[in-house]
Amino acid sequence: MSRILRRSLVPVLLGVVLGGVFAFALSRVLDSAEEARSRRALVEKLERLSPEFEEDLRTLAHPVERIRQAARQAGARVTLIAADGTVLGDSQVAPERLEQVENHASRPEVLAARRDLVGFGARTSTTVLEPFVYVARRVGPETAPYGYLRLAISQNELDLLEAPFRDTLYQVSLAAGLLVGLLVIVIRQRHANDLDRVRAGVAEAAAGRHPAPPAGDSEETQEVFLALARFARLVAAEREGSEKARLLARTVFEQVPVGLLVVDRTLALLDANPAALALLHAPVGAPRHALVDLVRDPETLRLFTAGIRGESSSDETVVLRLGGEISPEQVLEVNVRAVPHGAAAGEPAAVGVVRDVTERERTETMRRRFVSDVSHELRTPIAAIRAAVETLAGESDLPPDLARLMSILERQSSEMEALVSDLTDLSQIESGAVKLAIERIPLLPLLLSVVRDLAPASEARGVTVTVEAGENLEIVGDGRRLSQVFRNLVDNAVKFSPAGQRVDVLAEEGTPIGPDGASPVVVHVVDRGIGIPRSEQGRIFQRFYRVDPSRAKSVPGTGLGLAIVKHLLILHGGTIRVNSESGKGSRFTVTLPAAVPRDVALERTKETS
Amino acid sequence: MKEHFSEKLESLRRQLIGMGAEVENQIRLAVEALVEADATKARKVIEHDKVIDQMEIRNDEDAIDLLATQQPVASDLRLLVSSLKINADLERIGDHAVNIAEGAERLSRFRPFKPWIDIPHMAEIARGMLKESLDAFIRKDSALALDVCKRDDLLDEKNKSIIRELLTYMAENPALISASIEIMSVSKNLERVGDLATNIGEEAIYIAEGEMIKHHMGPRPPEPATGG
Repeated sequence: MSRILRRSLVPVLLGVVLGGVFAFALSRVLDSAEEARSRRALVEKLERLSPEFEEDLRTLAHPVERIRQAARQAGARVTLIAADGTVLGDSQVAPERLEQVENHASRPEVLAARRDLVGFGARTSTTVLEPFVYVARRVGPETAPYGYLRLAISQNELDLLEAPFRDTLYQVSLAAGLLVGLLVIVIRQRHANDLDRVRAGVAEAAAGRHPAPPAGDSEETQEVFLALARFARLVAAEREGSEKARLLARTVFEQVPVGLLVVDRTLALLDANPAALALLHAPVGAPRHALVDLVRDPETLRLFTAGIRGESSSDETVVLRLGGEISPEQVLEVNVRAVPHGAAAGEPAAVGVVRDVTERERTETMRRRFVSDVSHELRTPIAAIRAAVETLAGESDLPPDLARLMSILERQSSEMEALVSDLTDLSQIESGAVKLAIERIPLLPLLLSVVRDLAPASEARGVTVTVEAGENLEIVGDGRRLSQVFRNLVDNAVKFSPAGQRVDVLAEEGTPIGPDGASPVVVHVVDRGIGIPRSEQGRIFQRFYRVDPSRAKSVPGTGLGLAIVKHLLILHGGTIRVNSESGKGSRFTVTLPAAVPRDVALERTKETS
Repeated sequence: MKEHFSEKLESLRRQLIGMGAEVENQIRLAVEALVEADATKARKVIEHDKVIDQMEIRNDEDAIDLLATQQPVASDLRLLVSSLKINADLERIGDHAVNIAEGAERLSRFRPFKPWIDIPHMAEIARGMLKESLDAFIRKDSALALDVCKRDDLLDEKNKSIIRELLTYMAENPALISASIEIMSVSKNLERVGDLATNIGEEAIYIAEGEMIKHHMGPRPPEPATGG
């Protein structure tokens, strides 16, 4: 309402002011036209009257009665002035008072009449004290005039004539101004209504609904509405598409049998799918503001933090055992995928994937137990066979056929023993039965002793093994187990190298990591043998995996060596990776965590002793 | 300003739960170290206590900062005051985990003279109480919290029976005295963990219900006689 008032006030005021100004200007124009008309009328009357008084002026007579008559006839004051300016008669001055009237020779209208035949003047009369308009006319010849006849009418009389007309003029003008103002308001309102409708139409269209075009509107508005209708169709199509996509994403999120936890950079929980809530046993209605409301395992929380900072890879997992440590009711595996382009707080920064691995864990436990039992049970009979075969093979007078069979028996039984021994090792390591005897070990002597142990095999193949390591490099771990790691690696390198080639064992200090800036130890075992195809590199650390089955015949081995290496390194907190190209050789890189600084280690030994 | 406050309060709540998670884990690892006679694991627990102490200091500072600068009222004030208490309780539980780990370190040199049954059982109860008191805090679940408080008596009973049993061993075989005293200390520590978990449970009820239940929660058994 106030907006309408505000909108109307300006045009109305403007209309009134304009009307006033117009009326004022018009009245001025009319005024001057009226004055000119009255003057012309007076001049005409003078023309008519002047011959009548020509004789009187020449004789300087005082025709009092005729002057009064002329005044009545002309409706004006009549003055008769002699050539020298003496007033001979005046319709409004009594004859006896004529002598007191001053000389009129210097009156402007008289001066002008002497010069131009007719002269005008307007002033307040000194005789009757009223504003007057005067018109004088010369009577007689130009060079020697007889005198002047003058007519005068009161200025008031002139104004009085115009007053009612002026009022009407002002009223009409103001009314016209007001009307213009109102008209402006109406037009503006109409325009505003159009705009309002267009605005409503745009809102409708933006919401994807068809905007109803207003009936009987201008062509422009109709066109705008046609465009809006097209826009509305596009919006509706777009909206339907994104709604479908959203619904699809939501359905997948809610139906996928894998638990999904979406967190932001501050570990606030943005979303969790039903599978995640079920797996983590989240009670209905419990608050889920933060990840800690659902998961309180410190390891899992650390994995999330590292994932958000991009410090962990997506295949790093944490195992959650729910409902008792020894015989868990449920085993969950959690890994974290960082959402790229680390978003602000409140936007997804990482997705936690929770899988139920209870069944897998159970099968794995059964498999481990089976392998462990079987390998254990096989050891004794194999040892007996080996002993018998060795004894028999020692006989010098065996027939050649039998000797050949004996050598087959000897080779195969020794391989079987190695296999069973590897299996026993692996199952013990996997089941956690292996206890490491942790100590500080100088690295170079350990590597040298490994190479010395393998010397007969490498010499037999014509392969030389070199060792390069700093004198002061030290590692922390179980010496026997770490020897086993390097023995397996060097043994592999030798086995897969062609005769005459070289195998290098290089140890160095890695880049310092961690708060104390300690450097890990990195050992490379490099061969120039047949290499490993890229597609196989991920699988070589699996149990019983051999790259090329046909090669299994030429190169003896159980396929367990690298699996053992990997597990032993995990126990030591170390890692192994391979870098290889088919036909060019392989480089196995072992990284072992930094040795604890000597003083701290010493302190600990003191405390525990 | 107000939103800023609620954000800070939420982050304090998360820090507190995070600390609870660490403390839960400490108790678990300490008891594992004890049962497995694993001195290395025990050492890890003792060293990790530093982290928990830092968490406590930070939570304390944050809570006091919020109290001083925001002058919260009603439920916010309750949450803040309770957070301060829970923070202190969790820190104390962390210390008990260290005590247990230290006991485990010393006991790892003794030959076990009886299978571990009662202590793991007590530990299971104490850890369950701690876990559920934190759950009750998170969910503002006073029924669960009350359940935690009730279980405290069970733990007290267990502690007493362990002490009685160990006393008979000590009387029979003086060689077992030092090991038995270590185990008694572990048992006492676990019993204290239960008490502190009860405190947390009471705070959870206070937050949920807005009323104090301390000191007038049903009949308590008489305090064990001193000098026993």
